[in-house]
Amino acid sequence: MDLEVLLARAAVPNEEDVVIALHPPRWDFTLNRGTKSIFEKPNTSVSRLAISPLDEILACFKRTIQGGNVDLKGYGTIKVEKIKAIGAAATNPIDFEVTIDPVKPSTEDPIGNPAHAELIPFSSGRKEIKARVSDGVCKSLATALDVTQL
Amino acid sequence: MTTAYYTPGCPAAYSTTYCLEAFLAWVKQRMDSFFAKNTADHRVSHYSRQDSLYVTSFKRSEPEFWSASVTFNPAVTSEEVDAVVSQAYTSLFALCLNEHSASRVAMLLQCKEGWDGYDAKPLDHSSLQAATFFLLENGGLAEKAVGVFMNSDGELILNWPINANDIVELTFSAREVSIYVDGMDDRVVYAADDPNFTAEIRKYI
Repeated sequence: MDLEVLLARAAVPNEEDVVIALHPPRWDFTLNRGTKSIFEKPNTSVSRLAISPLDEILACFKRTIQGGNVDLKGYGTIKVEKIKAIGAAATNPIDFEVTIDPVKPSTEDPIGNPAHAELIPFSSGRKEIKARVSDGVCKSLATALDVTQL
Repeated sequence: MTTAYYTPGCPAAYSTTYCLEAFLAWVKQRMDSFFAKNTADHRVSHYSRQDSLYVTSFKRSEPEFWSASVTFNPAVTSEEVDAVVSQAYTSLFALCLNEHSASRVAMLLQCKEGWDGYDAKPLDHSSLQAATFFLLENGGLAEKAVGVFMNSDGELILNWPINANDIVELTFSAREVSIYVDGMDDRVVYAADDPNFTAEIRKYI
């Protein structure tokens, strides 16, 4: 990921809610829990409820994840300001930004996802992107999700 | 208790050039060892390769009747090898945990590159093997509601509740295992054969 490209992206406003897909192998609705690693990557994908209605976002998840064969049994929502607060409160603080990154229609997905955004974990001062989000912060983010089972 | 995750008898990670017979023999040996430690009422058949090839089958009457077997024709294709490997690992997870966990492993093995819709990697067989070894060497997890997951690097993850609020989560890679317990800032990473890991994880089993 190019730091300059990410810094140039517009940011999702703090008051917005974003949606993340919950599906195997990162989630198990039989046990009603997942792995905190859903937030571990330095560019976790989310979708903005302010741009697309929930049913369109869920349709996009079903269309694009696991080649359209995803067993999508739920989703989680979280407010951007909550994400930032969790990062700031960590022992080793993370400067989270939810960056706007719409996905254009393509041959793989003729519809695209105009609501797509990426959760980027910057170091303090935004000199670099953290390679991974610490487990403690991942756990706090996962716990803060408002989970809905479909 | 053996703490090493990699022993001379344990085949290297599975690949298309993988020695299937060595793998199957390893599965049988691990099942034999598991039953020798955990139950007296069992029968493990011998591994053989003649007209048909089978890994093992076993039966027990306590606490409930259970059996499993892995079979396939020796005219092997890569798909058949994958199927045998999948059956072997799912049998081991069923043995150590339960049928739900076994179904999760079968699901993980079917996840292709990009399973998250982006760039997630398929399951790393070294990670799966390390997790399997962990389960075989650490009894007492069958009643812990162990969850089986995978991260975007293809690493297998096991987690389970340790009380009403907290969970312990292990992430397995080829030579390391990391442990995270709710309340910690971040994971602690151990070499796979580090006896300190064995001592630490026993606190949560």
